[in-house]
Amino acid sequence: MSLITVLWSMASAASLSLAVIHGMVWLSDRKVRAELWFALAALSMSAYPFFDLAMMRAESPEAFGEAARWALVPISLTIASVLLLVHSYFGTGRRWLLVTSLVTRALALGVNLLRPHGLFFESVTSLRKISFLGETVSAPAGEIGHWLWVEHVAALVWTGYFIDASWRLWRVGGGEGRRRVVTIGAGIVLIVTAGLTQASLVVAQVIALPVAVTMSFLLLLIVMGFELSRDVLRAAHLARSLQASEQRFEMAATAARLAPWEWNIATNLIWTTSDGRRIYGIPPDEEVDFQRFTETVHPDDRQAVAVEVERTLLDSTPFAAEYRVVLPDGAERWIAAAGRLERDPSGRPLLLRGVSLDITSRKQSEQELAQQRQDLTHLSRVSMLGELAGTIAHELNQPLAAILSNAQVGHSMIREGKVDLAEIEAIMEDVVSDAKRAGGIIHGMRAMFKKDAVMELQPVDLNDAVNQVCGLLHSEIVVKKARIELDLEEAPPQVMAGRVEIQQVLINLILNSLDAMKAAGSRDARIHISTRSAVGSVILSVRDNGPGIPAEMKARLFEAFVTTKPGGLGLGLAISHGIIRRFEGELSGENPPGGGALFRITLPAV
Amino acid sequence: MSPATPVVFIVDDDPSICRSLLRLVRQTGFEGHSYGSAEEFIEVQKGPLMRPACLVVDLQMPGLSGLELQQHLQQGAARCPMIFISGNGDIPSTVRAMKHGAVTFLTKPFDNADLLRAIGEALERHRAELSSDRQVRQVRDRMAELTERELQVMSWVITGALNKQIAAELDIVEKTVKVHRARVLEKMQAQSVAELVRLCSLAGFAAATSGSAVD
Repeated sequence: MSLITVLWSMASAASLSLAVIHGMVWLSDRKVRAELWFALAALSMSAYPFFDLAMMRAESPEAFGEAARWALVPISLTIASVLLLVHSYFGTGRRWLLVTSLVTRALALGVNLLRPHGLFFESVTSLRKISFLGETVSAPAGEIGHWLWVEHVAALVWTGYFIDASWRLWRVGGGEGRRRVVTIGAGIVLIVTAGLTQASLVVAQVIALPVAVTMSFLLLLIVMGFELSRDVLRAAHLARSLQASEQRFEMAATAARLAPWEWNIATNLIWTTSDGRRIYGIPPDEEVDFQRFTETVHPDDRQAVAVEVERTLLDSTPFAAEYRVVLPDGAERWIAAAGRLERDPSGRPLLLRGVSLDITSRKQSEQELAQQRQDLTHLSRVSMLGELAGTIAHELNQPLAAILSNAQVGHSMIREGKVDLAEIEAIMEDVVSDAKRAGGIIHGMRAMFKKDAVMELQPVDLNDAVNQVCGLLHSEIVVKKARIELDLEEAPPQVMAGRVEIQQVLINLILNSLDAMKAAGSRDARIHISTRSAVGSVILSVRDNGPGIPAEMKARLFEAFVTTKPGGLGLGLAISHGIIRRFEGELSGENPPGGGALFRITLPAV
Repeated sequence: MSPATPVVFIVDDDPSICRSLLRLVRQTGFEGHSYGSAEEFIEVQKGPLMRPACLVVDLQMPGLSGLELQQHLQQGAARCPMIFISGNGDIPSTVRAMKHGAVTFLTKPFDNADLLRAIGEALERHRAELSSDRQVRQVRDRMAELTERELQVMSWVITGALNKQIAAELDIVEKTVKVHRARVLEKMQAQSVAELVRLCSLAGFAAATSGSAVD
């Protein structure tokens, strides 16, 4: 077999192989269009060597003309495929230039097929025998085609397209883009131009070579194939490092006890790691949608979670929620979840992606801490009331004395038969109101002594609290020879707080004032209590005309175990401060101009 | 009520206590008045008390306390026996009140009978005080009738001196002394020297001492 036949057949086979390989690549990932166009280019190209061979082996001018005429079909298809390849691979080509290139290409092919002897020759008059690779092959001689200019225009247009697309990629592409420009853009332009130039020169009989452009085009295919395989290699490399980074991420997430999740809103499927499934108590193979997730959440928390999700879908701010999950065995687990919403370009929610964190132990210690704090608050309240026992007993004895006395008067009236009904009615009225008064004191005391499992916040009228405390402390204040001045605003807004705790703070402040004024030997000791509503809050002030807060105490006023009282524990203000802070309010102390001490409780209004 | 009806003053800052005690007092047949504070009582009751009266007063009140009212009244015209009531009586206050002449100290709540008993005792005490006041005034009135010489003689008579000794001391004749003595006893409405001595001591009239006579 001749060397030319072997080489040209191999070129065809090589092209076909490239076509098959890249066709398979495209089939496995259809998003990579460049692979498709390359496969088509290679496929078209694999047909061409046979036309080349037919031309070289042509025995008559007619046979040569026919071969040359049909050779333009695979060439045109190859060029069109390469055009489309570059368009998708570079991404910088102008669409109109691409369309123009394809149209002129098609025109040239059309003209070629319509002409009896093709585009290149008006007619092939004779064949020259020339020596090529040690063989004698045919080269054409004849009249140059009148329509050859169409082919030249088409070549000019698509060359222009390549140069334009390359130039634009060069400007914006960076390192990777520029390399593509050099290997593909410049390669195509040079090789195709060289091939066509050779063909044209052969046709014009300027040089003595056959019209064999196979090798030029094969070279082009190899260059482009190499470039594309670099992409495949890079994708494989990326896949490997992505896998490694995924493993690192999962390790980090596991170490941090974080469970990543992703809710695809369109398909309503939730993906999470095996840790995530474990935290929520979902079997490894079960499909999870939003409904299934909601079922794992504690019934008391479902509403709050649903509201948070809706809010996130609406305004795109980060999702954040803490809720309980009920495991299949009935155990509860606290979860903190945070995430972010992604939208598609049209603004529709696409997916919600985030992490879950098991915060059960944190919640438990938080609850224990809150319990301890509450125990301490209760203890301090009870001990404070213990100190007041004597005066509170007095407060209770007042109505009891009045009731007893009234009852005895009524009794003796009846016994002596001197019943004055109007007087009996007045007595009964007094007895009822005194009994109510005594009941009120006992009720208030019981509330103060009671220990709640959890502190419940409720709307509290600060004026009521002040009045009740003043009632309870009336005797204590009288004994300490002090006076209370009330300056309460008419119906201030209520505050969210614990009523008993607010009263505890108030009692603490009043007793502090009484002690300070007594220690200083104040004559005319006065405590001024006022309520005022401010913007979004209510301020309760307790001001005395005593010696004020000692300078050395000012900075450490609310620290525990800091006291000026002999025998005092120094817990009162620390606990009061803690109470007010739990109500999201503020307790401050200062020495106002004009003397005395001023304590201010600011609480957010309902 | 007649001017002789005993009167009970109630001082307590608790209006309900005031009302209940007023009822008790009035039911018992006394005249009753209540005051919400020690200051109010002092303001209203300025003049001397001419009929049996007593005070039922709360120990702890805003302003002047019960003890302070007791102190204040000790020098005043409206002085009368006091009964202390308190819901929370402590021993020092009780001791102080009793030392300054309180009738008793009752802890609220108390039995009406206990209070009435204390009121009775207080009124009795005040009645006695008032009557002794009246006697002194009478004796003094009688004394005012005596002449200078008769007073001199009386001052000697109550020492138990004999007429002869008095005559020698006053440098007058014994017969004159006899006449003066008879007139003194008559004017002082005394049946005996012993009664005269009692009257003089009641009115704080001092007996003569040797050498005190001047002329």
